[in-house]
Amino acid sequence: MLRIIGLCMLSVSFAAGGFVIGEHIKKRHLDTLYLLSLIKHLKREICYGRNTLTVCYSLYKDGRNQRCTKLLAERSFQNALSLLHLPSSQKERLLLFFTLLGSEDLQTEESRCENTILFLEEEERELRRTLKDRIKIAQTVGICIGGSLLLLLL
Amino acid sequence: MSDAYAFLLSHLPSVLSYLISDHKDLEELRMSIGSEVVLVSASKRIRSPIICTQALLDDTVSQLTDYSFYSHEDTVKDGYLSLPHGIRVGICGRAICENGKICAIRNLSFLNIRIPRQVCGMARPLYEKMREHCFSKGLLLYSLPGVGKTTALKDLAATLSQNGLSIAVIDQRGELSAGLLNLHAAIYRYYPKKEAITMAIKTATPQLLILDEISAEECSALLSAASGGIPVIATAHGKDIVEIVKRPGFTELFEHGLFPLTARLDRSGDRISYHFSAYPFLKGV
Repeated sequence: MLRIIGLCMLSVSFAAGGFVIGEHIKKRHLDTLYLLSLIKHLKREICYGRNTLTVCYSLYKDGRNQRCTKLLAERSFQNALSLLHLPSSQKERLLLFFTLLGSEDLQTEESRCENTILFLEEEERELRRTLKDRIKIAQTVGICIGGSLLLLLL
Repeated sequence: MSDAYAFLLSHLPSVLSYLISDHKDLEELRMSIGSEVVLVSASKRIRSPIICTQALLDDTVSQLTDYSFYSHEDTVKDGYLSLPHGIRVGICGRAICENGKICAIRNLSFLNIRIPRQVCGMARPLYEKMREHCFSKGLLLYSLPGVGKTTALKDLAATLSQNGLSIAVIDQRGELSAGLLNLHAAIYRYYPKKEAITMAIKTATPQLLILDEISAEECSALLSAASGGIPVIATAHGKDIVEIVKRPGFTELFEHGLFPLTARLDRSGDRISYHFSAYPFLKGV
């Protein structure tokens, strides 16, 4: 009896794992969208408002990831990025971007923002294109592994 | 502790903040890559043991500008950063030029952080001289750089305003009006001088027009103030008034009677003195 309960739990956890991975992919897409909107806002405020970064961040009113925006405004970049569901290579690039932001003249800052926006737009496009498939695959693989384990070990 | 000094304590990198914490009378902090950080006050010039590195200089600029160097683009092209509380940072680096005009300055290598002082009553002799002439004559205050022209002009603006005169202050660098914001005066902060002079004459109708560090560029606009009958109080760099009068544009100003009064500002240690003369400098007044 205990063996059956254990096996059921094992298979359920594998299936749940699939759903968690699917959720992570969804969050990664949402976080990319958040960063895109934040950096577009920063670019606008830097180029047209000529506001300081503190003011630029404070003017960002998007409800998503408020804590992350607050940490970025406090220049606690690593902590801010750790809240986002992004791959480490992407985080490294963004860490460099946020660290250097504000240290150069207007022209350099504008092109720096533009490059990051292009990079994120490409990422977002790719994620959007494959989003449904990736979620479905993660969930299906989780369920299949769970189911097969259950059948094999019973 | 002045607001400017407190601002620097909280905005400089910790090593510099610690360095200046013992020098409350600090007037300048000079940093040049590869050499010692120099502290200048009224009575002394101290070479600190801290060597300025590129990282320290960059860090200082980032922190002073609130990590927003780009937001000072307009003044950077003129070689300075204008910070809160009238602090001015002279900068020097590698200029990027296009058609002979500076587009940007990169690789900063030198900073001169100037901390404004407030010396109440410093401009009393200037005020008295102006009163003798019923505030109807213009005055040019001159001295070598760093003697205290801006401080004196700031105090004079405050005294004039407190005594009920309607003044217009043209403050392109945000230095002159720091701490004067509660005064009853038309303060043109960060306006280009030439445009601000025209605007002030047309719209603010002041009894006196006050501006810092005039150059040949503003002369034509100042002449319109002269024709409008508004006395101008201004400052200029220079050791000798005869040499100032000979500068392009200045001769006309004197000939049109814009500055019938001139005052040379001298300073030795904490002591300030004024030497008045009247154009065409044949006799003292």
